[in-house]
Amino acid sequence: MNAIDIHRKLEENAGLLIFGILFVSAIGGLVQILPSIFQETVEPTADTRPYTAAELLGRDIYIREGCSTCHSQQVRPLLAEVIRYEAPAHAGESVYDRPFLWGSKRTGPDLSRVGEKYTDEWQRIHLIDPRAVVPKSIMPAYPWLERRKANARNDVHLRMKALQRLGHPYSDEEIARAADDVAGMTELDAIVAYLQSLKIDTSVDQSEGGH
Amino acid sequence: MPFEFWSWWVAILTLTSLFGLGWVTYSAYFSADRRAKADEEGAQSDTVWDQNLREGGRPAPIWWFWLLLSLLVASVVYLMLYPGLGVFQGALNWSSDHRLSNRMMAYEMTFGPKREAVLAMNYSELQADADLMKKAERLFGEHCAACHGLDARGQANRFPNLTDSEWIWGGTIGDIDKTIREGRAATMTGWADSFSEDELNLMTDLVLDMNRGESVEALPIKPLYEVSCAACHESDGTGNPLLGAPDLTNDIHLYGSDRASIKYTIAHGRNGEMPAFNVLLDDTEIKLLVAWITKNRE
Repeated sequence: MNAIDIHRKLEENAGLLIFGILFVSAIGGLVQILPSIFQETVEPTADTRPYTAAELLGRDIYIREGCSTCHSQQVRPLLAEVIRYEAPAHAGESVYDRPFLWGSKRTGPDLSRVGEKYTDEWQRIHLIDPRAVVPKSIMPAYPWLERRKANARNDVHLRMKALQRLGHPYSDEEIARAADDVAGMTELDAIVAYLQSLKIDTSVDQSEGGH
Repeated sequence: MPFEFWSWWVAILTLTSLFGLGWVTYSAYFSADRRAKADEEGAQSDTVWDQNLREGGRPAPIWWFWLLLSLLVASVVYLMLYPGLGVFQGALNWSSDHRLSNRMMAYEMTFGPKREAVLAMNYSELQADADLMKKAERLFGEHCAACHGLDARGQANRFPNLTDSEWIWGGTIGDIDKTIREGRAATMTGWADSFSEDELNLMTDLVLDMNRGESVEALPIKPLYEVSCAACHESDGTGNPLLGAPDLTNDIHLYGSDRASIKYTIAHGRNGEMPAFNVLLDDTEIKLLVAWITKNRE
């Protein structure tokens, strides 16, 4: 018995070949994915909390507008990044992100620590017309955010209910009053609320940062 | 499942895969059967497809074997040195956290003394040092320019000019240091509910007169100014830096110095906000910025 004989047998039996391919390509997943599904070792860091109704809407707008194509939300454990953005990203900071928005490309800066760096007023001006405050910016303008209602489809409580089912610790009262919490808010208000919620997690010791 | 189980699971599957790859590679080149077939070309035992199609399989070039073998060896060496096999940390005890804290330490060794040196210098010495001022300008570009503009002249009728004489929260070194460190929150009340439209217009006229340096004592609206505005802006209109109430006796207005903007400010109020930078910036950086800002406005 040697590899060539097995190879021949596989070549001549399509069923076996399919099974063989599935088995071999499953090994990577069995090693990398399966253990992490069963271990559940990622706990939220002390400062990490589920998004409020407004922040949640803002986050969905962030996704809709494709912000994560140009902005990452992951500070890597590299010296230059830690100096610029402070503490490296910690897995526990992303437990309430479904899906996480770490991104893989930075045309603009990383945003995972942008909260409270600028005022709400600056964020509003900048989203409506980035060139008004950063003359050399190449970021597109998002003027329509100001004109659209954040909860226009009146479904924020449904989004929260879905997340609650997935284990996010929303109370039933929070979900019940979610629509009132965001009543009258524009998309601009919601996305600014979301951006301001992206903060340095001071509860994590920097030296024990990320992975 | 216990943590150890998955650790072993990862280790055993990884090593079994490596072993399997090694075996496939070896046997593809060196099994006796393989050699015999390679020797007699077009051997009858070779698979025949569609009556006369033969693979005529010959082994791949031998340097492929050495390539694959060296990759396998490299994998094993890697797994011995670095974390990869379950909980085994590897002989080098490497982790990204260690690497980061080592780099941080080296960084501190290089820049710690330089920082100390900056903290030991006084402001006029800092301002005389062209190299340090260049660094300060870069800091300003990174942390402050998004609002105040690269030239520090303010922007968008929202973010104050830092090169003029008007300092809403005070322009001494101590004031500016406090502003950067702790941030500021200004609150101008809106008077639309308590002033009538006439009163709003008259008050706007009074502010415009004050801006031109004219006396406003005789104006009929002055008593209302005394009651409503003087607590913060002072009865002569010179303002109060402790409250962030701007001086009204010049024509520098953060939110626009035209009549319509001033009226809007009186009617609806304004809420200026400067964020605190005590987390993002350290003492040295703040000192450099204060030195640069006070030098820049001269």
